[in-house]
Amino acid sequence: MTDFPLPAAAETVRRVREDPNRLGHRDPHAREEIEGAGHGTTGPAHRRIIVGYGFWIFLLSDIVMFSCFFAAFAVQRSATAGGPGIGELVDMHRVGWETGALLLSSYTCGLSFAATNVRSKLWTQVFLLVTGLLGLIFVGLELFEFIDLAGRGIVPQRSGFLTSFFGLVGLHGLHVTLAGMWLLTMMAQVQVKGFRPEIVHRLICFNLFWHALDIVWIGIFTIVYLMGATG
Amino acid sequence: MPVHSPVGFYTAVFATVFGFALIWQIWWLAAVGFVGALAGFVVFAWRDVHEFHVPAEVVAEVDRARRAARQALLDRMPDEGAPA
Repeated sequence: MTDFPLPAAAETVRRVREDPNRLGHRDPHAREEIEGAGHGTTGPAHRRIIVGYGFWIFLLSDIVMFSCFFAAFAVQRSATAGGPGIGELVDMHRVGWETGALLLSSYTCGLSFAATNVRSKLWTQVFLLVTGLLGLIFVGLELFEFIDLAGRGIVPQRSGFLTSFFGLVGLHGLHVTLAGMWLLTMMAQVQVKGFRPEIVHRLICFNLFWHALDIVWIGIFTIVYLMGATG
Repeated sequence: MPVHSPVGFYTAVFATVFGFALIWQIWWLAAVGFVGALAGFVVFAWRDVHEFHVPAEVVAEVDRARRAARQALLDRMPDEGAPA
């Protein structure tokens, strides 16, 4: 430990002391291990912190991708090529049910993690299942919407606007679908393997992902549907 | 350290097949690509050993050997050609 020149080490100790969250650090004078803290003044952070941080980086890359689709939609919004505009697509009643299902699924997802925190396998599974079913309702409603639109000749090939519309909304729907498959594998893992540390870490990642999808949907609901319905 | 795994390459191959099949509307090939990619995910997600530990002693040992080799090289070089 004496390999560090003193000024850098003193600087590190100062930084650790001033870090309000003490994430990945523990009190340099503490003797015992603390869950969620590192193994020394500059030691590695707890695995839970590292996994969560890494997943946040992935989520941000996902958000960057969605930003591009949002930007494309904003630019293409009036490029209808004489075809149907956004006002003719929006069925607020259906979108309302979609939003309700997805927001409620986010709530039950949070409840499932509360159950995970108290290591209740039954309630974790119950709430994960409810989350998955609500997600299924959401995807189903979106599928009916797309089939309904296609039946009226409203397809991605029709105009630049429709390409960006189906691209953005479809990309989100695809995310929810894949997240649903992830959810099934997580339920199977919880059932068979129980609450091992790595399983709990994956549940954390799944929760982050599901909530991120909800946030993206809020953006779609507002920018595509609400602003579309009001012209 | 995370364990070595070919799952990224494996999934990328099937995802490429999936994308190609969707563009050209070859539905049976799309199904093959999707199921293949998903199978890679499920198998990888089920892994029990997901990382291995490199003890500090091993790192020190490897580093010591590397430093010794480098020092030996420096010793063999003429003084005027030695890097700082």
